[in-house]
Amino acid sequence: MLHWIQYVRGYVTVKVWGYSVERLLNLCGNHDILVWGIEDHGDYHTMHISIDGFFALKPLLKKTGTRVAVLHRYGLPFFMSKMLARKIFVAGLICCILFWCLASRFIWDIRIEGNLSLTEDVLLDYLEEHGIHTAMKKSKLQIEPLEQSLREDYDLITWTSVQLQGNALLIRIKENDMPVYEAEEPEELDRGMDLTAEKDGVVTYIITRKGVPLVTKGQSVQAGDVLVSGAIPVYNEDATVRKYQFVEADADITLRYGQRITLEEPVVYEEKLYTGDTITIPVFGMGDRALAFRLTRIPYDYYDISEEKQPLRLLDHLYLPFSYGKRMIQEYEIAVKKHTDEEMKALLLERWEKIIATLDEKGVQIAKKNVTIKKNEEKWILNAGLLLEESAVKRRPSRTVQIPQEETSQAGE
Amino acid sequence: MRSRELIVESLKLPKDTMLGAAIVTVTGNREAFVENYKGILEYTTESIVLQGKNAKICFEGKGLSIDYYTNEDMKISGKIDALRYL
Repeated sequence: MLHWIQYVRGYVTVKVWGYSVERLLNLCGNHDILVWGIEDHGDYHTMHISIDGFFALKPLLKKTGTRVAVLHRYGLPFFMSKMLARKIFVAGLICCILFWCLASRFIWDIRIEGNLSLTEDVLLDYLEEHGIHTAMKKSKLQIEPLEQSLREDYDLITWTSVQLQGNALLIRIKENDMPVYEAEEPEELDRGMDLTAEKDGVVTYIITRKGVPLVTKGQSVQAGDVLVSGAIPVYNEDATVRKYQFVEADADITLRYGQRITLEEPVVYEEKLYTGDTITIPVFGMGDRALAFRLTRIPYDYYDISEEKQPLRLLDHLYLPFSYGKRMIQEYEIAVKKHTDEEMKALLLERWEKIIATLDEKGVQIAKKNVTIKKNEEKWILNAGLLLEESAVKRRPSRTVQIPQEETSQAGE
Repeated sequence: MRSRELIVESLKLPKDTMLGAAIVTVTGNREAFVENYKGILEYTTESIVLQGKNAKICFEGKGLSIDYYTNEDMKISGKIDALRYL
């Protein structure tokens, strides 16, 4: 505390010598001049004295026949006068602080975490629509409504957390792992929902839970055909339709259909052989633009360009709209090569197995398969005829069924 | 003088203010605190002589220095070997 007061008020270290230093000290005491840290150095004394005290010292020096010289100056008053002599520096410092304060009121970066199937672009577009973008004012951001609207507008999102980390907006979401069922919309319910075939095929299995089945096992159907109708007719006594009751059709249906798959694999292929020659160019980015510092042409015929950039930031969280990094240009040569028979077989089989795996993932069962491989000089061709079984049905609103006006009026009588 | 001391003594008045007596508080042999002195007579690293009302107070030692002083009190630090009243 005392140090602070001394620093703020300022003091000087002086060297005192002459006839009677002791008398000077006594006089200082009597005149209420604050003196401390007095040290004897034989020929002279040093002491600390306040600035006001130093100016009041003159008549006392005359009286006692001593002389004084300033050795050091300490404290804020001296610092200030030094600073005032460097006007541009001080102005720069103030501008810097002002800029900092100003810049810290904006959001400079939006980061999204936890999105698996919703892409960052989609979410950023969504945010943009809601007036949230980089370089927006922090004060305009309303966190709670944003969290809520994200959850409401995307059924897939089950949990949101919006957080301001310094100048970065961090949006963390959790997506629903369970399959999402389309929300039932009441207007569509009074029309009913049909199940229609997604593909041409033969019905191999059908169990209806709700609705009127229009096909039987073994019947062949075409894509778009209604398999189970969502409109259940209610009959009059004379077997005419009085009205339709609309439901959401629900059934387990398996369609069998054929599919032909052809895979081609050329024997000759081109391989990139990196020569190891690399040019690295520093890159400086501002916003979306990037500036690469190179004037001469790139002396390679074939090359890959890769870029590493990172945003410029201050103190971890203050993101600036600049980025820096490097661009690497790697030269390569093209080598024409031929696959061996084993390689060809492995390549084709690998692709084939991938297809089977994706079918499996979709829940498609393979009832029958017939695979042949044809070879010639240029390429190998894998031909596969598949008989697949799949629940290939699509829900669609029922077509409105018109009931003749007379019939209903008759029914009313 | 004698009667004045008697009055102060019997009324239990503080002696430093009434008689102008100096109070010297010595902590170990490194620090001394002097109140109610009148002035500095000599100040070197080996000895510091202060003027009291009735006597001179002499600190002798090595590396003596005055940390601070005001009109009323002062703090002396250094290695104090002897304290004498002259």
